[in-house]
Amino acid sequence: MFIMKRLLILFIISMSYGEDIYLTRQGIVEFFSSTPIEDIKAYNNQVSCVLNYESGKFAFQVPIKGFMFKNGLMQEHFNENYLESDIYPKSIFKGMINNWDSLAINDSTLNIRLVGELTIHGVTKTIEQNATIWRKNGNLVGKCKFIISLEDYDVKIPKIVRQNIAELIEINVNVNLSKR
Amino acid sequence: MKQFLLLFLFVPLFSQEEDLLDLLNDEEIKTEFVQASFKGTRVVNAQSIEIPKPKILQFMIQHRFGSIENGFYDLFGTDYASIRYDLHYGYSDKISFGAGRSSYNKIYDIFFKTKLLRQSSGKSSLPITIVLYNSIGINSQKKAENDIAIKENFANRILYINQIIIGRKFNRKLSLEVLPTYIHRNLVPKKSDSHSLISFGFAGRYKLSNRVSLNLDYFLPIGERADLFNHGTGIGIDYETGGHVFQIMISTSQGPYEYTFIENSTGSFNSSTLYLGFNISRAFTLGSNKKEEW
Repeated sequence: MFIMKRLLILFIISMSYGEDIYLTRQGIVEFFSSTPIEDIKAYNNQVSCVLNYESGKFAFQVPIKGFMFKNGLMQEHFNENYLESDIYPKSIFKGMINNWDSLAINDSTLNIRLVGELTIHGVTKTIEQNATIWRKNGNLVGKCKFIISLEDYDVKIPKIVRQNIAELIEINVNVNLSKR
Repeated sequence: MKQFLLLFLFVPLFSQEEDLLDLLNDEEIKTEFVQASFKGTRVVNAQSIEIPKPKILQFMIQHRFGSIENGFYDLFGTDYASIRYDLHYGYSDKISFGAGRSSYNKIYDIFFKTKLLRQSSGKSSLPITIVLYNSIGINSQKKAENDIAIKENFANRILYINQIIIGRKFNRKLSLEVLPTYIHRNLVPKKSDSHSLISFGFAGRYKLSNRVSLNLDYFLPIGERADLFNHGTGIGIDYETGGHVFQIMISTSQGPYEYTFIENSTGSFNSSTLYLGFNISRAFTLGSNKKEEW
């Protein structure tokens, strides 16, 4: 009976806590567009990210309306004309970290490879990206930098502003995940 | 019995193959203000519910040609011109002000455009935007010998425009608004005319593509007007590029100032005395959103 009780308690604990989940809702995504005429950058600190520490699976969720521009008019056009955030309010990156089981995460930066599906503007592409991860005060810190082509995600730039907006956009991701 | 319980213990592990994204969606929904109900601060002639973004100075040229009735002789009125230009500054998300001048009647005007309520969704949602538009116009025409009234008193040159603009963006494409309008003129053409004029405006836009929209506005007078009164009506198309908005229109009025197009429209659709025109607005950024991260 004693064992059964113990098992029951264990069972309840495993139900309520589940696996090791690391999570943030204040992740940061920045992007840069650079052309000889104009540099555009935007900043979003409402990015959610979740990592299953057991399986190495992760998911990012980026609210498009959370991108802040220096110029309010640019922000409006970004939402209205380019990313069409009324129709596609979120970008999602979902996948897993390669060779998760053989990785040992500690205080020094560790290079990892992310494989997953990136959805922007309603278009989903499978991508592979390098990233780094390390431990800091019990949290997991992740960084990733990559470049996407607007054409791949069906974001159309009219001729008249083609000189102002770059074809390739650089994206920086910074997250600090704490254990749930 | 033990084995059975052990089996049970593994069940939660299987059920936890849930979508990680579900973990992120239990967040409280934030209040989101509706953006870009109209492309410009004007629909055609009428004010829209938009004001310039904070720290943006908007320069707008409103150009109206002569009547199109003479056709090619004066190339649909393009030989003649009536112009109004203004500077309009966005002080905050809710407050803006500016000043302009019309060549028609040489009216200078200063105005305030204030957002009282903003349409929003999410935590605290609101179905409409309410904007207050107040303007004072000063007629600066020369004192004419036969127009004794203007000569006698400066106050006679002044008129007041007050509008409540109630608008809603119904979806990405359709936005509509109504504009109850109260105009007070200190000087009336005839003694029997009223100083206070009330009218009710309707305006809307329908987006044809991301950058092009079709716009309409119309003002219905409430109460008595002179016999020759024509209703202010306009139809136009917006074309937006990066920092510019081009608006091309045809309307019954030769002046883009409220008093002119609501109360002094001279054209009508029946006699094809209509006026071609265009608005161009350019936004200048005077500051940037303050952010520590920049």
